[in-house]
Amino acid sequence: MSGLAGKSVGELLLLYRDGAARPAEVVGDCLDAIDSRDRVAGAFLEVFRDEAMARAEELGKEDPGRLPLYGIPVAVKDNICTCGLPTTCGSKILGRYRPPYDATVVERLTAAGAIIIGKTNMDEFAMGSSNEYSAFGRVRNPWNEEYTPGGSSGGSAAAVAAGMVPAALGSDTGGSIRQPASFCGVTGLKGTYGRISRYGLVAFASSFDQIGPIANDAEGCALLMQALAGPDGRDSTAIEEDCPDLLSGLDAGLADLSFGIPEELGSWDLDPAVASALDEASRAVAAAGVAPETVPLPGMEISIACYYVIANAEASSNLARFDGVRYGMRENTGSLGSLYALTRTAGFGEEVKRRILLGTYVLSAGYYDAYYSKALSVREMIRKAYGAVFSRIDLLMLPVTPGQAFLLGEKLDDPVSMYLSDIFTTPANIAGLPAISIPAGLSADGLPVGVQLVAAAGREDVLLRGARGLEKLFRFRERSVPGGGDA
Amino acid sequence: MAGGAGYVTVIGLEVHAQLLTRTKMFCRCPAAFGEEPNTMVCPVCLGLPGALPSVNREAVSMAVRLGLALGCVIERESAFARKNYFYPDAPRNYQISMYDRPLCTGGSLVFEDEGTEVNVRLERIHLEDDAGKLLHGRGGHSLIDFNRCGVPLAEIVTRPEIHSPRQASLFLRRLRQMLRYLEICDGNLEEGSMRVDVNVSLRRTGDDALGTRTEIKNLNSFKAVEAGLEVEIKRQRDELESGGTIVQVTSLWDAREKKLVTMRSKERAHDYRYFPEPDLPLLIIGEGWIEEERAKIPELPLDRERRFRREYGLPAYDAGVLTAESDIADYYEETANLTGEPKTSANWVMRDVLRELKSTGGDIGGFPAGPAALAGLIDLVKGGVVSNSAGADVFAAMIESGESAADAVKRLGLECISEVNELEEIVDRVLESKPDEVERYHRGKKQLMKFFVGQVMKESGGKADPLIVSGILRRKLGE
Amino acid sequence: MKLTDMEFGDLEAIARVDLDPEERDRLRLQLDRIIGFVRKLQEVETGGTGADGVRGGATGGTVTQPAADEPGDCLDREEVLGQAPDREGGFFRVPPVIDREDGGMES
Repeated sequence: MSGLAGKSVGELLLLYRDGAARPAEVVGDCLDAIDSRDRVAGAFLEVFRDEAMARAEELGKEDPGRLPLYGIPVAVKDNICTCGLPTTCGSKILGRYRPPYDATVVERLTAAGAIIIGKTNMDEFAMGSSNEYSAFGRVRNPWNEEYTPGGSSGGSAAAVAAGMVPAALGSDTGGSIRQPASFCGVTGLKGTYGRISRYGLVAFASSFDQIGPIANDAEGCALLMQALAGPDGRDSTAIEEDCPDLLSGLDAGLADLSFGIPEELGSWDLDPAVASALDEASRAVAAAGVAPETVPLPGMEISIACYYVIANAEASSNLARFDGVRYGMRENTGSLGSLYALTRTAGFGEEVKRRILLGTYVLSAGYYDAYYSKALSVREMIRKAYGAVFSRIDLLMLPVTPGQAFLLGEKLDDPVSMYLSDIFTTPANIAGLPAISIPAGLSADGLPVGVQLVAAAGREDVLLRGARGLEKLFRFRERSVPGGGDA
Repeated sequence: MAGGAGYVTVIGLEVHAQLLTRTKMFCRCPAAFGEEPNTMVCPVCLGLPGALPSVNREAVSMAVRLGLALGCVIERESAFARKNYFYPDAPRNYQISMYDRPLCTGGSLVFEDEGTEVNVRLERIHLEDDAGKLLHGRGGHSLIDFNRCGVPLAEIVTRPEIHSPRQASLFLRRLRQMLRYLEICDGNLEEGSMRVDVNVSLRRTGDDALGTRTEIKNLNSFKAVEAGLEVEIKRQRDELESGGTIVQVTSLWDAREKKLVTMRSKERAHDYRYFPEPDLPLLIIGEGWIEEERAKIPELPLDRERRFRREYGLPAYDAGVLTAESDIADYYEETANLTGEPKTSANWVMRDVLRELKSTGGDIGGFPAGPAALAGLIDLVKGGVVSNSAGADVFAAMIESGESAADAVKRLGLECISEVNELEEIVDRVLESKPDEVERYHRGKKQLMKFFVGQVMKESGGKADPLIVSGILRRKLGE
Repeated sequence: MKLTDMEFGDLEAIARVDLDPEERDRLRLQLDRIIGFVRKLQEVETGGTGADGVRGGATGGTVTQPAADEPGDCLDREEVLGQAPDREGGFFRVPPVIDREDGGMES
């Protein structure tokens, strides 16, 4: 990607500080890139052209050194509330809903000098792994139009990958930042549960949801994370402690970090590109210091079932508020009961209904103990297993997904198979741990595959340092560009 | 208490007390009433997508105080839970309540039923948020106002240990008194700041198993609680006696028609699916917080009542009346301490002050004659400056004008005529003008003494002391 | 174990959705498969780990920090009602509420 829009966050900040670029130029370039590329990609649901330009002009009068995200255009996933501007969650049921308030992350981005450039497409209510469950059309993978960008933050990942914007916000409930980042060849970070306030993120599964950055590199993620993280009195689940300094130690290298690779990986059928990326990373880590040790990680397989039970139980309750009474669409009828049912039946897509029904089932009288309650126990077990792992090592290294991006339509008829592709991402959500997806290489089909790192709770600093180290090794960005194969 | 021959009535209560916090349970909208509809709302209490609850510390504090006052265990860790149901007054279509880990457990409330102390144990006290209000609009539509939505409620749940409608009412009166003493709820059943749901079943005497219970809602006065229960108990008894079975239903009390209206039950759509509220981590109440709240608890009604009897020598009835409301008790105590005359002060407060408050509907806080003013009046009466009967007029004048007792006495010229000469003249005048009565008196109709005293009092404009007058009369009439 | 028509109908009623027959058949089959998949949970030996220890969501150790009882800002009513599909004056409006499931209707 040439042009300013394709630069990394760090590169743009340097250009600003050197006086080599102005926010209005960068925003202009992003808008041009969106105009020329998004017709095919379908990454954006809404572009705040005038607002972004006005904000860029305003920022032009300020000192670039004062704000940590000065003039950085950021695309925001459409399940994050933007005051007075459409927020659809990729669903028909919200109609033309405009929230009367900004999410905490939107406030923080703006305060840090970033410019919200638009809202990105997503699987409806973040339920999906291919972005095909959006009510507003599919998103195409910038590397190959026949493939999905992954999901549910597919629009955000595609927008960054296609060089339309240097950074974006996604949300990750079971891998929804990391998986599309991997499929699109960009870097996606999910922090420790509670690291970033969820206030203003339309809830899918409250105890797993985390907002996080998607950018061209680990530094971009670190810069955004640093600005977004921190306690928030409006979110009781937000961590009270301040986020550690993510930037000063970023380039400290891999030398004194200890890595682990899950023992159970061997039983999975991994795409050769994924396996070789892991091997490469493993060798590099060994070369830099200590060879990764193999660590037992029980419960990986069961984590998917655990995740789907808890996530959908919470979702069935979180999505009850969409009923056609206070906002969004309504199917008008003469009785309240049918108003609810008709509105929700027409307003929700099939995947959302499927999950609401599953969530309702596992919470209902007679099944609660066998499913929901049991899943909570399993979650606790998995959390303990991870705790034990991180008492031995600093970083866990594993694939993001077993394979490359899937073809559009490939898994639509097979929900369970779609769910299973989240096998490597959901454990970090279940255990509430920070995790990052780093682009590692290309598959035989020329599609990106990533490697995932997971750190102990609260150690985003270690996570990002490891990610930065691997990124320098993979040199993915220098070697590959979408549509161009290996550079 | 029998629910009729062969049956024992078993009643349990669930009371919702609206807490007097400044803001709502999970957001910082004012918990204000009487405002324009839908103006006291924010993303949180409207359940807008993305908004999250944050717990009001004061609401927790108030519930802790209530728990301590009722002898509950304050749970060091409690948890909020979601109660899921679709209803247009619940904007999230779930209520944030507490389920398997309530804030307070155990405890009890003591009250007196016909001279016997009754101790009803409590199941739990938990916190939750109130729903909005539904009103009838044009064309049968329903209208929703969310101002009340999110106002904190403490739900107090008793064990099924109440055995008559009267006991239920007595329990509720005592609970209301507690809530008001603690200043955490104004306890107004009519206005719904205190709401009562009852459940009732009949158990065959000698049988251990509880009968099927039914529930009654919409009981918005103590009278309604009693009446609703009477009706339901009779219905259950009739049903059982005619060989029928009790079906678990919920009814609404229609106060106007004095009857129960059974609600349509929607079994299928009726599964609350309680689960832990993922937006709110555990609520931890440390020892420090508990002690902080314990220190704020005032002397409680029963303790105060007992102390009034002990310390002021008041009869049980007086002590009960005077401690019904803490501000009245304060008023009484200050008056009694100023006068040093506890029983006389009690009489004044119970008779004159409470009657005045009842007729004007005012509260003691805004009462024009404070304890010092009333004590002044009591002192004047005691010192013989004002007669007991003139005292009532002075009191009326004081609350009318707000002046002190001494000023009112002076202004109205109600000082007692204590000059014997002056009184003797009046007595002579009265006796001269009533020769027939004097004649009859001498013939033995001694009851006429009262008549003569009355006449003298009238002549004196009420300023004479009746005791002195009767002394003079007796002497003049030759006794 | 398969969901009966009755059970599936109950789920729809509780969740307030009303599927058309074709969608119902499809979703029921899928739900059967998914439930079969998540039933694996029951085979997991979780030892003494009760669900109770899990309170606090994914945060584990995080606890609620109660907020001070200080009034904040409310929303502008027009902004709120402007989003409503139906309104009457200062109120949200819905078709008649005939019966309530949880307490009495205000009048």
